[in-house]
Amino acid sequence: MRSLFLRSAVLAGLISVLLLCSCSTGKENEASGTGVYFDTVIDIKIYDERAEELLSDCFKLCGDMERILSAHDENSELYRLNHRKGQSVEVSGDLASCIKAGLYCGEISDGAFDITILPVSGLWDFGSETHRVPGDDEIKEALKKVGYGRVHCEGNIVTFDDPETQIDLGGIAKGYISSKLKEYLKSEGCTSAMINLGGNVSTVGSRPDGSAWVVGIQEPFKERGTVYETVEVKDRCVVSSGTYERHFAVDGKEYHHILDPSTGYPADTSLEQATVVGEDDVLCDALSTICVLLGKEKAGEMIKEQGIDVDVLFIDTGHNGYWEKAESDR
Amino acid sequence: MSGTDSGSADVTPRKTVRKIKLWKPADIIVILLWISAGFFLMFRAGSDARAASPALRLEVTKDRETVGVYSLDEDRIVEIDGSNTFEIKDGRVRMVSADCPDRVCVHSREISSDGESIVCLPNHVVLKITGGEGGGIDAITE
Repeated sequence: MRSLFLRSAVLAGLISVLLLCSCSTGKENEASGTGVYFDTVIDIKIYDERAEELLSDCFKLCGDMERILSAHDENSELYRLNHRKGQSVEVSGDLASCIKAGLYCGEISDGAFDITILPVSGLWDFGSETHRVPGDDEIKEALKKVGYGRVHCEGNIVTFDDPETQIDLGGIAKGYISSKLKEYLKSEGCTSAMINLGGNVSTVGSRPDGSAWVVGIQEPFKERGTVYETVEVKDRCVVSSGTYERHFAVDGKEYHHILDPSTGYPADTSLEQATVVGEDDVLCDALSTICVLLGKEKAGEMIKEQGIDVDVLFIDTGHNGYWEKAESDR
Repeated sequence: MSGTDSGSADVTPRKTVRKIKLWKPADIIVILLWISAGFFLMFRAGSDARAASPALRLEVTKDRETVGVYSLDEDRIVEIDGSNTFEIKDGRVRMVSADCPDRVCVHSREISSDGESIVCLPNHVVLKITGGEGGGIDAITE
């Protein structure tokens, strides 16, 4: 009799505990954080039993990457490479991989994407508050130092044909870091995470309930946070680039930050924005810039020729949007 | 179970007697208490999540440290470390002023739903709305 009483109490207790657990899961296995690296806000949300631990490892990784890939931080590995003494320099595996990816993007875009643009982008300095249009002669002089073909990377050895060549991985570093974060989280068995590196949105798996992540695409030239359209993704990233990101006007003329390496001036583009959706974070990051530089037709052709599996939303200067979907999504 | 009970009518009275003995009123009270406690807690957790808008709150962080959490239900103006000032009004949040050079945060769209944020990059200040069910947009590109 007594045992039955106990049994019933234990059983009922178990049932209620089970009910409680099913309600509170999701919150207990969730961790999110925001940090600032590379002058970029990094927002990470992880759903996993070890969410807190994974989150702090992710931010540690961001710090490590900043010390390698930042072109402006005087203590970074890239800064040391740009201020090198010899012609060939041995670099870390991460720096070598990122440079290789950058050189590859230069090749597929026929030089529209050039990681050696630094001498020119330094003149424009869109990051600063002083809005100055550099002199034509200054730009021509700086352009002489630009050319990704003068950089070679074999294994971990980077060789420069020109002592003045400098590398800026700004167009690709965010993609590289998010791919590293994704790779790390997956290797730890995480199946649900959202990574937002200053607007480069990347996802691991799906939402904790199994549904797709919903990512809003910033509407060009509207208040930050205004959504033009949403896309649903699982395991894929969404990266936007556009002339609206950083720009200024001098004497009534607009200048934006996407520079054409062939002229040294802001690209004369028919697009306000390109958004690339795909699985390869590094490639998507570079492609979003490449698409703005090349325009809708040329970029579409290039993507098809290279057989790259991405969807692209082009928004032209008339504010009209056009999706160019990969074969696999049609 | 009920089939066996009604099937043999002659043993029913004995069974009933045994049943009363087995399940003392105290047992039943204990079971009911446990279950109702479970339901009560479940309901409370459920209603918190369901009534998304009253539970929404604004989390303010500076250098990744939380400096404050505010309900969106109460209108107020808050200054953060003298560098930024934000306002909560009618469930919406906007940055009113900032001492940073670009003032991108002040020109950002006001926020009101779960997951939205306003960031002041130079001052490392992040205003972020949390606490909803998270059914909307998870992130926005820039």
